[in-house]
This record gives sequence, structure tokens and C-alpha cells, in this order.
Amino acid sequence: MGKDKLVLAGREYNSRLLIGTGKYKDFEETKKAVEVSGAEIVTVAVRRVNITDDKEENLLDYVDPKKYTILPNTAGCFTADDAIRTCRLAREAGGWDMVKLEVLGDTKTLFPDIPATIEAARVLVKEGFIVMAYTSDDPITAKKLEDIGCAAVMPLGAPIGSGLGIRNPYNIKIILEDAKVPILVDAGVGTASDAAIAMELGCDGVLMNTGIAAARDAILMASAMKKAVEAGREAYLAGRMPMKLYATASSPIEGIIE
Amino acid sequence: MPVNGISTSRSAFLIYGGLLADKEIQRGKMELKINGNIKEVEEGITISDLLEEMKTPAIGIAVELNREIIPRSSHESTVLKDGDELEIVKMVGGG
Repeated sequence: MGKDKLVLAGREYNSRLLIGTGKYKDFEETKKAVEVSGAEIVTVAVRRVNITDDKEENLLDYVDPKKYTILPNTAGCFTADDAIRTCRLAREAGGWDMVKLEVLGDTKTLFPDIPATIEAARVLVKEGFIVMAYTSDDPITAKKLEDIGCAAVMPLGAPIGSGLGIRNPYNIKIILEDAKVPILVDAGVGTASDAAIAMELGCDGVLMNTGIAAARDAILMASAMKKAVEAGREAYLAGRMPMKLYATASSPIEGIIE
Repeated sequence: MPVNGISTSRSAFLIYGGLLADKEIQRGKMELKINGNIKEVEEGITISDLLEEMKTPAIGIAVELNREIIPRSSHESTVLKDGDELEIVKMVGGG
């Protein structure tokens, strides 16, 4: 497994697990979860500085940008313009040119607004951003995002924060079939087996946040997810046995005592 | 009371001080709209001054002035004006 790297826009990563930094109890827990997960890429959100509290702690004091690749997201953006503006701010803030683009359709489902996502992706790619696009599990959209020049396409497994797992593995499989950029399942992963399933399907990686942060023991779940992604990847590379309806004995028939 | 003291001396300047004192009085505060909130600051401060006053994080912040991003390298040379609208953002936890 030593040479099996995730390659994103020419940059190599050892870990195929990307994790979000939201919803943890505190920054200490965030830090610990990131460490234990083995993730090298972590998502962050871009938000207003609190102007009335100058003692507010800074996430980046806990998640060191020198140690991790910071992947700013456009969470909370419902228009292409807002998403583009957010990415530009993120690039100014830290020189981060790799972004997780998400343009949301409504607050109830947080499903992506596909036309707006495509519109924003076009502009961002033109401006030199390395765009990782959150999208639905629709193969046609995934292809369009790839054609536009997105560095990675990230179909949802289920709604953000739902923990419902990979609802449509067949669509993910179709997306994977002729994808030429990395495909990562983003959103929906609720427990280790969900992550393993995504990887066994052949996904290049998994991005999750709530699946870890909302576990009773977030740190332990971070560890579980690390193993699940690795196990799923190895199983995919190993090539699973064919499924059969009837039994095949594992022990030899010959030499059975009489 | 010190407040009264200042007020009295300012009035005195206004009456007797002429042009110089006049300028002194006009130099004062201005209002900025920062992240949707009105904030009163010293007139003529730069973005760098403002960030220092607000104790914003040293890394990972970006500033938009009237919808235009001001690169970090220009923070020191950008003087703010009354009524300017700023967005100052940082990185927070997110998925």
C-alpha cells in the first residue's frame, strides 16, 4: 500500500480520508480528531470575525496550516456569486487555492443547486482554483463538473449530516466508471461501514464531518474511520471474490474421517 | 469631572484658538460598517490599525473593503473613510 496515493491536481496524499472541522465539542477535540483520523486535508468554513469578542479562539491555532492542507468550503452559500466570493476570500486569507465548492439548494435538504454549482465551478476554474465540487450522485452532473475542469467530483452518499450512508451505490458506481478525476464521497457517511462501502466501490476518498464529530466518542470514531477507509481501499484493490448463491466448502472434501 | 474639563477646554479652543484648534476639534471619530455592525473608530486609521485594534488572528483572515478584497500587502497603506463597509473573515470549523 506504500505507493497507493491520492493524487489531487498533481499533489499527492497518503490518506484518503478528508475530514471537516465543524461541530466538535471544542478546538482541542477537533485537533485530536484530525490527528487520530490521519487526514491530511481538512475542510474549514469562511465566516465573519466576531467584532464584539476579541478573545475568540482561532481554529488555525489548533489545526496547523503548515501541517495540514486547508480546504476552505463554501458551506452556507446558496448562490454562485456568494460561493465565488467566499473562495476568493479564502485564497486571500491563506493562499488556499484548493476549495470545496458547495452551492446549496435549500436549508432543509442541503442538496446542491446543480446549475449554480456548475456556474460557480466554471468561474473558479477559470480563476485558477483547484475545485473539488460537492454534488448530487447524478452521473451526468458529475461528468459535467469533470469536463469543466474540476479537480475532483464529490457526490453525496446521503444528505449532509444525515448519517444515512451510501443511499445509491449504483449511481456512485456509474460515476466511477468513466471518471478521469478523483471521485470522493462527501456527506452521508454515518459509521465505519459506510466509509468502507464507499471505498470498496472504488471511490478515491471520503470526506466526512458529522460522522465523526457527532459520534458519542468522536476521537474513537476518527480512528474507526481511518481504518474503514484503509480497509475499504485495500479490499477494492484486492478485488473481492465473486458472490455465489450456494455454499462452497473452504475445507477440503478429501480425507474426511469415516 | 474630567469630561466637563475637556468639554470646557474644547469650547475655549473653539472660541479663542482659531484655525488650528478648529482642525483639532474636527479630527475625531468616524463610523465604519464592519461585518454588518457599525463601529466607531479613529478617523484616518488604516486597515492594519483596525485589525490590530480588533485583535484579529494573525493568520487566516481576509478583508473586503466595499466588496473589493484588499490584499494583505496593502493593509498598511489603505486608509479607511467614514462610511466604509468592511467584511473581515477568518477560518472556522466546517465540513
